[in-house]
Amino acid sequence: MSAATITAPDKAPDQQRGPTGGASDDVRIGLRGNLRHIGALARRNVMQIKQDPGSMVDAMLMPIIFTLLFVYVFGGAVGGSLGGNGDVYTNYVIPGLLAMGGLNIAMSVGTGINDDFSMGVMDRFRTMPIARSSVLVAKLIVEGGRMLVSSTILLLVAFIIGFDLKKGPLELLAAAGLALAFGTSLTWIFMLLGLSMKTPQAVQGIGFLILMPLAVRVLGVRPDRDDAGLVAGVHRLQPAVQPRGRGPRPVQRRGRGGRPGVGHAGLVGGDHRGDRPAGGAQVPHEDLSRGRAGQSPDRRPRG
Amino acid sequence: MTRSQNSPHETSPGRGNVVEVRGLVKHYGTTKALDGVDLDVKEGTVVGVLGPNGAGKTTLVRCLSTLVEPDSGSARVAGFDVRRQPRQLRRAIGLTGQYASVDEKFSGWENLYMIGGLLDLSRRAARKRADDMLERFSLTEAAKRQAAQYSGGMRRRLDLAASMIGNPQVLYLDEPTTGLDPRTRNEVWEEVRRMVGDGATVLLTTQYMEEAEQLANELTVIDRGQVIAGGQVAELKAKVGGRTLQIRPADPEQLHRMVGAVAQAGLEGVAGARADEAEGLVSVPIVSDEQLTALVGLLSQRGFTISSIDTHLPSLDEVFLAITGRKTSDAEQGQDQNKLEEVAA
Ligand SMILES: Nc1ncnc2c1ncn2[C@@H]1O[C@H](COP(=O)(O)OP(=O)(O)O)[C@@H](O)[C@H]1O
Ligand SMILES: [Mg+2]
Repeated sequence: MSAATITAPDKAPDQQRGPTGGASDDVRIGLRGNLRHIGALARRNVMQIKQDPGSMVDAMLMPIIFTLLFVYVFGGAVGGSLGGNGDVYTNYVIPGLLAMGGLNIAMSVGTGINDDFSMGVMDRFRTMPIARSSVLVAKLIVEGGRMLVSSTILLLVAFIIGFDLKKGPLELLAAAGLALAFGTSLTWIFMLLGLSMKTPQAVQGIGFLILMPLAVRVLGVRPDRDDAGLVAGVHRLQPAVQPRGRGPRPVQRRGRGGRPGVGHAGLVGGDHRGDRPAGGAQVPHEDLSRGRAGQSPDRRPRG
Repeated sequence: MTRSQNSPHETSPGRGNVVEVRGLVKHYGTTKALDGVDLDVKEGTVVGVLGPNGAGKTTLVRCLSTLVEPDSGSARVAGFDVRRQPRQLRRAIGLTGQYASVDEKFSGWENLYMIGGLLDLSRRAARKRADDMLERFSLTEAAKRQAAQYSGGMRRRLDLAASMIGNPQVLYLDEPTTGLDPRTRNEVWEEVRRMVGDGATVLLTTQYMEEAEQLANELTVIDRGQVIAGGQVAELKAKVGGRTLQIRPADPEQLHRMVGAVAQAGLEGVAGARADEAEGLVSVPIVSDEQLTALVGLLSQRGFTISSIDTHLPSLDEVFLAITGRKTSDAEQGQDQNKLEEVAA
C-alpha cells in the first residue's frame, strides 16, 4: 500500500515544508501551550546558569573589567586625542560597551544552541510535540535577562567612575533597551553559527572574530579619526553604527560650551565621513577632529 | 524486500501496522544512507533492524522521528505521515537515540520533570510522573544526582525513562546497548523486555545478532541503505545457519586430537571443526540440537574430558556472509575509499 493514496493530492510535499513544518492537516501548537513550553525551557536555561555559576560571573565581571580596562588603560591616551582627559573617554566608551553587551547575548545564544545540539538534547526536543522555535525563544529570553544584569552592572561601574549622563533616566533606559533589541536582532546570525559550527568553542571563536574588530574599531571604544581604505570600509558596513540621519539615537551627547561631550556610537552612530551634515545622530569626535560642531539641527546650545 | 505480511482478516491494508515505511530514500551528498527501504512494525511487536555501522539505521530512525526529511518514499507512524503531520506524529513516538540525549548538567529527576512539562503535564502530574519513572527504572536513589555522574547504564535507563514519559505508542531504540559492558547491556535488555511486556511497540536497531534475537520478534537486515533480508528471527536464523559450538577440553593439549576426532566421526552436517589455540577452544558450526547432542556423546565416548561447552550465535559478519556472500566490513572500506577519492579529486 502506498501512502500516496491517503495523502491529500492538492499539495505537493515541497509546499508543505517550512520552518514550522506547517502542513495543512497537521495540528498547530496553541499559544498557551507554546508559552508553557517556552516557560519550561526557559526554566531549564536558568537552571543551566545556576549549575554553571561561572557563566554568570562572566556576565558580571566582563562589564567591570572592560570598563576599567578601556577607561584606565586606554582612556588617558585616547581621551587626550579627543581633546579632553580620561573622563571624556569614559563618556564615549560606556555606550559602546552597552552595545557590545547586546552583541554578547547574540553570541551566548549561539554557543548555547550549539552546546545543546552537541549534547543530543536537541534531538529529544525536536521529536517532542512542541514548536521548534520555543527552544530558541526560551534561550533568547534568558540571555536577555543575563544581559540586563550585565548592563546594570556596567552602568553602575560607569557612574562610579564618572560617567556623565546628559539626558534623563528614560533615555538611558531607552538606550539599554535598544542595545538589547540590537543584540536580539543579530541573534539569528549567531543561531546560524551555532547550528553550523562543530563546537561551542568554534562559535565563540568566530563570534569573537566578528565581535572584536567591531567592538574596538567601531563600536567606539576607540574614536575614529584617521582611518582610510579597508578599515573605513568595515566601519561603514558594520551594523552597530548607523549612518547619520538613519540611526536610532536614544543617547545623545553633545558639545557643551568649550568642552565637547563625546557621543556615541553603537547606539547613536554616525557617518564619520560627515557627508550628510543634516543627520540626526551626532558624532562629537568628528566635531573635534573636523571642526564641524553645531551642524545637527537638533542640537541645542548648552552651557 | 517488502514485508507487508498483513493477515487476511484485516479489513484495510496497514491496519495493525504502527509503522509503515515504503520506498524510503535519503541521500547525504553522494551517500545513499537510505536506498528504498520498506518496513512494517505491527502493533505490540518488536522489530529489530540489524545492520553494520553506516548501514543507515540511524538515518531510518531519524526519518521516522521527523528529525530528517526523506528525499522520497513514504512513512507513516501511528497513522501520521512523517512529512505532512509531523506534530501529531511526535505525540505518538518516543526516541532513545544512539547517543544519550539527557541533560547531563541536571539531575535525573529534573530531566524527567522538564520533559513532563514539555508534554503538557501539569506541574503535579509531571512531578508524579518523574517519580514514577525513576522508580520504575531503578533510579530513585540517584534521582537528585547530576546525570553527568551516572554510569553508562544509568544514563541509558534515564534516557529510556525520558522516552517513556509521554507513554508513546511506538518507541524507537537506536543501538540501545552499543558501547555498554555486558552487565549493563543485560540491565537495558531487561528494561526493554519489561516495556514490551507492558505492550509497547518497539523499533530497535542493533549491530548484534544476539541483541536482535534476545529482543525482537521480527528482523530486517539492512546494508548500505537497502533491506537485504527480513522475516521472523527464527526464519532468518535458519537461513544463516544456526550456531557455533565451542568446546573447551580440560586438557589444552588435546585441542587438535579433538578436532581430528570430530572430523573422523563424520557426523551428518557437521564440518569445519577448528582449533582456537589462543582461547583453548574447539569451534564447530552446527545447525541443530541433535548435532550438539551427538557431538557431546561422541567426545565422551572417545574419552575426552570437557571442562566447558558453549554455543554462540553467529556474528553480524557471519550473518552477512550467509545472506549476501560478502562481509560487512567490505562495504565500509569501499565507502571510505570513495570518500578519499572524492577528497583527492
Ligand atoms: N548528517 C550526515 N551527513 C552526511 N552523511 C551522513 C549523515 N548521517 C549519516 N550519513 C551517512 O549515511 C550513511 C548511513 O549512516 P547511519 O544512518 O548513521 O548508519 P548507522 O546508524 O547504520 O551506522 C553513512 O554512510 C553515513 O556516513
Ligand atoms: Mg547509527
